[in-house]
Amino acid sequence: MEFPENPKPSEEEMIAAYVSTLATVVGGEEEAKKKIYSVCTSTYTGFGALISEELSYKVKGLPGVLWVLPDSYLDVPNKDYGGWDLFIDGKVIHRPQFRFNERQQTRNRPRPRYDRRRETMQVERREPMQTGQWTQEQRSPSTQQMPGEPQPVNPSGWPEQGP
Amino acid sequence: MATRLHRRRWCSFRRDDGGGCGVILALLTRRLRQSRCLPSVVSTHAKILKSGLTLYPVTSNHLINAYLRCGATAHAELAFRDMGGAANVVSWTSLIGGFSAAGRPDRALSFLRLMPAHGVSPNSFTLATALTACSALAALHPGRQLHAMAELSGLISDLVVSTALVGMYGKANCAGDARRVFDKMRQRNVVSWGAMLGAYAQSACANQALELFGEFLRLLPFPPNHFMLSSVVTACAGLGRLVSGKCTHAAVLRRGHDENDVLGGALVDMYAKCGCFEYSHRVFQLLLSPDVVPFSAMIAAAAKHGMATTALALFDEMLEKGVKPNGVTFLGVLHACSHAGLVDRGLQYLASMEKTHGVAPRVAHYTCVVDMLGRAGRLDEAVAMAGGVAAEGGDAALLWTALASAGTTHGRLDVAAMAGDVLGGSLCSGRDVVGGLVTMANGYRAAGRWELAADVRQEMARRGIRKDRGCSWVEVKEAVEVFYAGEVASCCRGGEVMEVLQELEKRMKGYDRNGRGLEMADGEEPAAASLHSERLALGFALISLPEGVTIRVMKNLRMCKDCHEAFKMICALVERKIVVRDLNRFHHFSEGSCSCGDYW
Repeated sequence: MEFPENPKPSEEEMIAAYVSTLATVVGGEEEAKKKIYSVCTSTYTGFGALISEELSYKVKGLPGVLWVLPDSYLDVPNKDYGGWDLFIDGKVIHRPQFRFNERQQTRNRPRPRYDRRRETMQVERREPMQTGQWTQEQRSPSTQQMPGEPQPVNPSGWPEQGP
Repeated sequence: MATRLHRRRWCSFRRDDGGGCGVILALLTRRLRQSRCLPSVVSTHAKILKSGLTLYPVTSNHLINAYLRCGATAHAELAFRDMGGAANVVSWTSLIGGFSAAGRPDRALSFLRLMPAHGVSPNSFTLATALTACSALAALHPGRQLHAMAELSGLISDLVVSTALVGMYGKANCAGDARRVFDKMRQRNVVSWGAMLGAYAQSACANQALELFGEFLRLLPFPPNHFMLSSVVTACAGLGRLVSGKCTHAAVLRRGHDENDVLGGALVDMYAKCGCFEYSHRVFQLLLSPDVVPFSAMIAAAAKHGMATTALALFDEMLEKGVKPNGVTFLGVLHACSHAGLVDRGLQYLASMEKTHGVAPRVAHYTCVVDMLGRAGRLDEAVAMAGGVAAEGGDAALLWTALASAGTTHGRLDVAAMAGDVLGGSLCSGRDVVGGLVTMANGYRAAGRWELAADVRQEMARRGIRKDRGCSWVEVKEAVEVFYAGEVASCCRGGEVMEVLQELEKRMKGYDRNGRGLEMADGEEPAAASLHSERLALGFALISLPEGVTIRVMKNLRMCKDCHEAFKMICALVERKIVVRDLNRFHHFSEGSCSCGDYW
């Protein structure tokens, strides 16, 4: 869900907003509290709830709702590293080991570090054999940035050859 | 300030002699490491020479690296040659890496080849760096030689080397080889997984990419990074799997990657290709400072969804914001004009591409314009344009198919015949030729020229090529159901699907929108049209998806006129929105009409 930046609401206010939003489609705040299983107000502002696909489409149009996305098919929420907290019976249970999951640094520009980064190398690749226009893949420059690129020379790492 | 201090110290030590040398050297070395620009490196180099200190290999290596960091490859090479026989594996590796980073991977590899002659063996860093150079070139042959070197020397067990190998095979489109290397790795880190997923995504092995990601999530040794997630999103885009794409988006949000531009572009593209324009646009609007990649994706998305005005407005916005368009951007713009019939504007954009924006048009751009002219019936211009394009192989096949299709649609069989000759000739090659010949055969049939159609079919049989079967697929929850034209027996819940379709047929016969009933295309047996794959898929979707949910069907071929009409009626009858992705664009059916305006 989307919240205004200025003033930014408190954690309790955000969670209350989640509950009241869901309440409009499940028929009451008590029901909503039972269905919500996770909340987050830091890494992202949103909640996870166990509802049918039909109901989820009703949530889509509600005010303040940015995205309604399915959770369970590809990802296993239990072992998630995301910075969300459990929400059981209306109470927030913090997960301290995953609490301080900071927002990922945006990696739009190469960091001014010692290791060499390849800038855009527009490579002419053989196109896979498919028809139609759906394979016009864009060669995004940043897809070639790989963290931890091998550092061929790290002066501090080589054994110093004494004079 | 630092320079003055340094100079004072240097002067005082100079008087000292002997033990002072090592300190001076250390100071100068540190200066090299901290240098950021060429003049400072050169001046430090000069000081080293003037101080009369012998250049130890370590210092030379620092010098070479400093030059390479500034991109001064010529200087670096000179410094390297000055070393003479003292050059060690570090020197060589730096050179390879530096040239590769400076955009000369070919020279980088040439250095590698010279190493044995100088008696220096490559180590794991060398191999990894050289493999990176191969990746940049997408060069399989040297890559394989490096693989052999790695196996023979045992360096393949090094994590960095094997990861670089996976990356190299990926960039060379050999996903199978990449996977073999990946499977043999005893330990893998996030870069390894990313390289493998990237290999699958970019080799159009999207299904394997999703499977591999599923395996990764079951193990979950560490959180996925943005590179891995963007490969998965790209895979979903190719397959048109909206649900998987949404799940991945959820993962992106939960881990706080949503401000990443690469992921933003990939998500815009994915939502567009999966038929959800609303979310595509929303992702785009939330990006803080989109660059050419997300902009191009958004323009192409609007074009494919038939929103030419939006697409062209976005292009104007992009220019206003000072973002430079590239070839892909213009493809989107031309498609927008093509699908909306804005022929003259399209021609203007083509003319301005090189003149105003410095982007040279490629065969794909001309193909789009030929298609646009053809669609609008301006066939002579289309022929003139196609004739002036130097194309070969698969590109040529697509170009001439566009012309053939336009010819048969507008009854210009002379054009179609000419295009057919080129298609059948040696200029065109690859799988796209099949599509071209099928288009011609269908076109001839539709024009009532059975004998010409039969000729084309014979030609295809003679060459041993078979046309792609029409197939459509629908995503329900996490599974994908595929349907083939005419195959009811094997299709999922076939009995129920046929019941639904037959009931709809009956209702359609009674449905009288324009005072005409449902027309059958000449030459099509009534039964065949109703068993087209997209209808089977639609039937299945109607019984499997909840009420009110938008139905999304993906098809591998162009939608036929019959089904297009039928879908318009059906969406009104069942009061649901239907989105169909066919070979060229999206059709949004709602309330009895289609977003393409019957111009596709």
